Amino acid sequence: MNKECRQLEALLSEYTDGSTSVGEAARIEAHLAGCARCRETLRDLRRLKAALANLPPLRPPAGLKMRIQEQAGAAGLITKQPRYRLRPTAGWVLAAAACLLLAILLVTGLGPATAPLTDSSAEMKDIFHDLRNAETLYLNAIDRMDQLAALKMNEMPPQIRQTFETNLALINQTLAESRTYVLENANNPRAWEHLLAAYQKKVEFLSLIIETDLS
Amino acid sequence: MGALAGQPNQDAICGMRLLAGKDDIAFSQKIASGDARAFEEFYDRFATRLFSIAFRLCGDAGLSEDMTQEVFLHLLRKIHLFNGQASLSTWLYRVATNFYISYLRSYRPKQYPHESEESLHKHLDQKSSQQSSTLHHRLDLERCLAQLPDGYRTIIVLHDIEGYKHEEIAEMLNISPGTSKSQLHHARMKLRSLLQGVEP
Repeated sequence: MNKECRQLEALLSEYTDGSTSVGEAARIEAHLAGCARCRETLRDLRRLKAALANLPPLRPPAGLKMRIQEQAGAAGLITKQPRYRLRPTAGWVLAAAACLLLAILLVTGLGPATAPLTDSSAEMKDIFHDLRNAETLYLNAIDRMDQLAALKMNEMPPQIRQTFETNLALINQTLAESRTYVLENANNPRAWEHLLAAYQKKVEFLSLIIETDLS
Repeated sequence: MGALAGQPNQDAICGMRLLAGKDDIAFSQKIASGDARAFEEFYDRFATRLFSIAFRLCGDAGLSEDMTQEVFLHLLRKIHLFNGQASLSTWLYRVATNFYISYLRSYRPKQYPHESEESLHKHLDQKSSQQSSTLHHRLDLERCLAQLPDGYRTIIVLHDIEGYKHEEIAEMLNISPGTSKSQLHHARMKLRSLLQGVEP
């Protein structure tokens, strides 16, 4: 990189934003004509700017709304809403029993290696922090894939669609179980391993749906 | 230029680009009155973007959840100040962004790293530029964004994602527009090098 490259590179960001003066722009353009390295930098900066501008919004976690409502209600910022109470019915009892059974199966299936870690070293905290971030990003990516897959499934013949829907429901069920297990065992690496593997499965399956050739 | 000391800069809040409609004013008054249904609508309309800004400013899922919770409480306390000189969304994103910046300053004092030109070029020279043609897978981009030093990330989020101008950023961060421009350049170059590092 020569001296002129160094001087002009500092202006490439502004050039990307279209905010250089006419004189600066002319100088940059003259330099770019003979410098492949700066052309590449400019191309990367333009791509980066476009990619950043097109980042999709991230979905806030479930339950956040309710927590804010409770806090705002307690602070007198909003009027408190009546809480919805679920009346226990035979269906609810059966569902609760099924959940309990699934939880027991899940815990038993994972075996002794699932004991929560007691190691609270800074490194482990970093790892769990990264895992939580990874989950947020996974969830948002999957949201978008879900939408694409739903559009694609609408175009499918009913029989094929039903097969996909059945399998997707199974994957979603596994995902929900893994998610519950992580919520209860946030510091257990095996729990995270299962959850991220479940996300991976869903991504693979959604990709299969989206890429299915209907012609 | 007003300093940010936990409160949104009222001068900065004024002078917005879009004027509010009557609906915005009526809606804000409903929220300010404590109407629970209005709050629900308020949350549904704005929570996603407010959470996104928080997440990208701090790079931490747990912290961004706390920040989003706090910002909603802050907005509920301040919404009576909305005077219709800007659209409601413009006003509240600005108030929220100011709040996040103050929050993060008190949470962990921000540093604005200023790598020397030398070290920046040295860093870039060590990376292969041939990989740069396949940049910007979204997840890589999010991950690298989270890896940026706090000051760089803040500038990128405010300018390139949220679309604030250097003059507005300067006001929010209490720096000069020139510093904002040069920090943005350093931040983009750093992000570029991080992205090149994660490409296969």
